[in-house]
Amino acid sequence: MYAMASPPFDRIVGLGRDPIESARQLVHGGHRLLGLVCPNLPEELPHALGLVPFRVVVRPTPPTRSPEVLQTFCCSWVQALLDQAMRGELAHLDAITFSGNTCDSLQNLPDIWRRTVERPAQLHTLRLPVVNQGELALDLLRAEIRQWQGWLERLAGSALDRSRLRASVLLFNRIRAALRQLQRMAIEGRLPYSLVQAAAISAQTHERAEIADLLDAAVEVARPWSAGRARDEESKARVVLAGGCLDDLRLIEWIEQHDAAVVGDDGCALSRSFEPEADLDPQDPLEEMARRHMRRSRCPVQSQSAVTRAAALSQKIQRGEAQGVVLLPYKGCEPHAFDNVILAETLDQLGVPHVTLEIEPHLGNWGQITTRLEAFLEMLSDDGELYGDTEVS
Amino acid sequence: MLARLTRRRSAPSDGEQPLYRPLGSTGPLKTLMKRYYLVTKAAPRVGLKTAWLTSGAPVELPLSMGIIPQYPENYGALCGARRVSVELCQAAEARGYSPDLCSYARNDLGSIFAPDRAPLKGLSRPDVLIACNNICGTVTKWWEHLAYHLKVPLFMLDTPFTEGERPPHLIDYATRQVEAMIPFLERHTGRRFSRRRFARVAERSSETIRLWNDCLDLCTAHPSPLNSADRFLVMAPVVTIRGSRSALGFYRTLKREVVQRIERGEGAILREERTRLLWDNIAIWYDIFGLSARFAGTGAVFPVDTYTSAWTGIIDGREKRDPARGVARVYSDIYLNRGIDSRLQIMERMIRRFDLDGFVLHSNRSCKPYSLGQQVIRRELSQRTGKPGLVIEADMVDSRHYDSRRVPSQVAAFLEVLQ
Repeated sequence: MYAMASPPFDRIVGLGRDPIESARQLVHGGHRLLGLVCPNLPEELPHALGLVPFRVVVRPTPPTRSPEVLQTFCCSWVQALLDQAMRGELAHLDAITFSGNTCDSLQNLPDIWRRTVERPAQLHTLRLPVVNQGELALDLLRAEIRQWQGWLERLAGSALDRSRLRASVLLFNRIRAALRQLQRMAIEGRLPYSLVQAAAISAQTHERAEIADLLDAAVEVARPWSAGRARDEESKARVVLAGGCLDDLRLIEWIEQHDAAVVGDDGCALSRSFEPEADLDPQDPLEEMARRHMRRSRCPVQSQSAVTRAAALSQKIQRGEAQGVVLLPYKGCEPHAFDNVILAETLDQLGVPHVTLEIEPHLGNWGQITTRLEAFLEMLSDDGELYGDTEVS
Repeated sequence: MLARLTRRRSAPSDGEQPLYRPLGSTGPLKTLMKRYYLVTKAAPRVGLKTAWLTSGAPVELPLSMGIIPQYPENYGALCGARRVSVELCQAAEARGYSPDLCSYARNDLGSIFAPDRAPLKGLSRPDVLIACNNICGTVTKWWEHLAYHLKVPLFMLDTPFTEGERPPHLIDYATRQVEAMIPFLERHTGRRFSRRRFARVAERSSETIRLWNDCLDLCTAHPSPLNSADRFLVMAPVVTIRGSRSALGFYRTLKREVVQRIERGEGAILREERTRLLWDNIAIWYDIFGLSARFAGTGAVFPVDTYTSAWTGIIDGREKRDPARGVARVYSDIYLNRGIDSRLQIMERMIRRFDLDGFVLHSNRSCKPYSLGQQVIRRELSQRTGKPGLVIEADMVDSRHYDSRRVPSQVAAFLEVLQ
């Protein structure tokens, strides 16, 4: 259907499918990696200090070690993250930065980490405001970014060079612009959305200069492909996804293999990582990092996020001409569980069908997820038959 | 609620001897809390303004402006003790709220969706909502939903969690928000703020907390004059109306009784005190005396707990000139807003100071900030103090998560080891 077997796409999908392995290779190649536990942390700053920002991705395996220290009611993503760290699978990272002031499951994690994980041992927490408006929040961000800068400089062993920071800002602007272009093509039915997902994951985990080139090349390869949704795409059920990090490619690929298309998302580490359109101004990058955070779509951990997310979601539905929404909260994630109630209510008011599938990062309940998803997609598709074949020959 | 609980606690079962020494102060407490709920129910009808607050929000501000405070968490405890929370939680679940969410939140939302099933038909409709995330991140979302359903303005006081030392910019951040709360309250209630009135209320609040601290501290005595179940009940005024004359009066009465008990050598339980324990986390409200009796029956008491010690911050003399900063500091620094190192230090100090033999951690599935980390706390606290610890799995008001067979056998085994 798509000429996907070209080199940039192969490489992007490979990196997106196993970011931890690609991170290991980076370390082997002499890079120093800084783990970021949230896509909301400004990546440009560590990058300018010579570190590769690696937004921590959890492996799709059920936790075996973290249940020793975390109760079952802890967020499944946090359980998976600590498990991976306890098993030594993040030992290749030089250090980790957590986003603080977020959710109750993450709150005590750095302190638990210090007692249960050998490497990485250097941890920092950057606190983000829960009320994302006004000068007050901006001042908190400025102070927190300054503090982080000091910690990063000690970690990197060098002072921040403004010209390098400007170069990093331009590089990240370029990456985000390319991601937005790929996403536009996917919404128009010219690319599978799973490619956007793979690109977004690799753009948060791999060496950025290579990623920028790969994404630009991918855009160039895809550009000549016919604009507008292809005829065979018209009959597909079109859905928008909303949820947490959504780091496992299997889910979107499964949807695409079942005669349906993803035409937008509200995932923490997916489109919310490269939106909004406005990029950073390289003239005053530190100030701009704080301001960009304020411009970003609200994160579910923030106060009053659900109504603004619901409005953004309805725009995405319109833009992608979606017929339904799949809500994908992680098991045990309170902020998403709360937001989902208002999202679902808004979708009901708009008359948009939706389904909520509580997932674990390792997609442990895969059979149940796909059964329910299949039924939902069948219901959405143009020629869907809800009640089975009753013709008797 | 208090009348019912008091009856439940003092009634011996199967002809056994009573376990608890009745606390005389529960009389004035019952009167005070009855009046409190009567006032909150009547407030909208008589033109008084009311605010819903989280338990860690600075009540001194609205109180000084004549705004009647109401507490969904305190109300949740009341519903839990009356054993109606499950029904209210289910009402919220029917509206799409996950059963994994905090049960105080579900209880509260359920009382809005199904007031006929709620004690007192729920709390009075508020004019404003004031939330502070110093107790958990859940309130950030829970109160967003209250604002959404009730269509009432919300003030969110953001006091970021800190693992170690609190950097000055975080106090500045909280101070400026406290300052911003004043025009917010004035705008939405029409009540005027007066610095003089606020200073008076803050002074009374500090005095109340001093008396409360004294009562807690007096439990270092052997035998302990109060058990955790006593403190869980008598904490209600310090949570809800600290800063009021009535609360101040009540804690003077309570302190007198506690001192008297010590002078007479009377303990909280009517058994010989054999084992002294620390309780960590919120009470298991629907079995507060049942569980306590399992310990008390073998002479085990809880002279101290981390929960009722949460309301012990005092605005000091210097801060009276800048009350917003004082409020910001006190409310930023509460127990749950600090990391595990700080909590361990506090618990270790409690174990030594109160001369304890062990500790019990309530792994409360509704309170993640309190509960996540307890496994490492248990290990480290035992290493530091040489005292054993027990983890009990339950929920503060949703009794569906309470194994009433497993918990008693765990308690029995633990006490056997200790004694």
